[in-house]
Amino acid sequence: MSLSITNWLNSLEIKPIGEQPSPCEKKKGDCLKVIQYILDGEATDEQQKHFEKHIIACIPCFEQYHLDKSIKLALQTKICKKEVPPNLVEEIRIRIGNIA
Amino acid sequence: MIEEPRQNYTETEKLRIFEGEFMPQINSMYNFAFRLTLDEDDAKDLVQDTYLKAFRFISSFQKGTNAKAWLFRILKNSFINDFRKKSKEPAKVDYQDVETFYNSDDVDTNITTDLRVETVQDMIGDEVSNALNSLPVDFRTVIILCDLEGFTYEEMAKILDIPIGTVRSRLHRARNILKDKLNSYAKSMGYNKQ
Repeated sequence: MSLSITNWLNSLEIKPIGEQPSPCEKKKGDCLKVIQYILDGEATDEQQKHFEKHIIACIPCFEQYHLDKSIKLALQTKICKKEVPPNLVEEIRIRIGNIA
Repeated sequence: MIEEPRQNYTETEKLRIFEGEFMPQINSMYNFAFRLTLDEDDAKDLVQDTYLKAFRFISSFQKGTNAKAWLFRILKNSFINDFRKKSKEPAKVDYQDVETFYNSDDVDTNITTDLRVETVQDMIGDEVSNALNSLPVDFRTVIILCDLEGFTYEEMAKILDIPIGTVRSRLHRARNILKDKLNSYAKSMGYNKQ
């Protein structure tokens, strides 16, 4: 059973958790960039698929992905929109009317 | 964008485009202007100036294309050319210094990772907003365009007149600085204590 799991992990080109500090230790910058593309909906299919496999075994990338996602979500949902000043639209229309 | 072939709109068509395609963007425009200037009066003036320029250059706008990106580009240019010099933004940091520092290869590895998801989730809007506002304006801008306004990298490249690769790298650095600010804030508030 353990042999088949090892084979399966090898086929995914990933290492079991704990065997190494992080599978992406040498190219962490690349992973951080891919996390950004995924969260922004700008990753290629290949990057997306590779990363989905990768975070199964890479705890730092798994945590980084969820942290970055939470920050993006906080920006989108927690920052209050400013109300447009009530007379702004009318002032613009008047000034456009003067030059139209 | 400005470089598009000129359109021959009648006066009626111009007003129709202005009302139908430009004015519906007023909320996003005002919020973008406020996030750039950090001042309500300046934001109002900037939006007014932008709409007047948009009307003057309306023959450069192709009806039915991306009005929001077109307007944002004019607003950003107006901000740089007219407002930035007299902006009330405090303690302006020299952009080149900031860019040089954050361009260093150490940035990715230097960013602390003890900021936790739960900490971010516990923060209130003002705390997130203050962290964003404390970023140098060029870094703040890419986060606003991407995360708050949902523009694609390609649209951002056009709005900012920079290559798409620069959009990616500037966004990456902007987020690192923001994370750093949020982390410092969390520490100062004792949020990260286990």
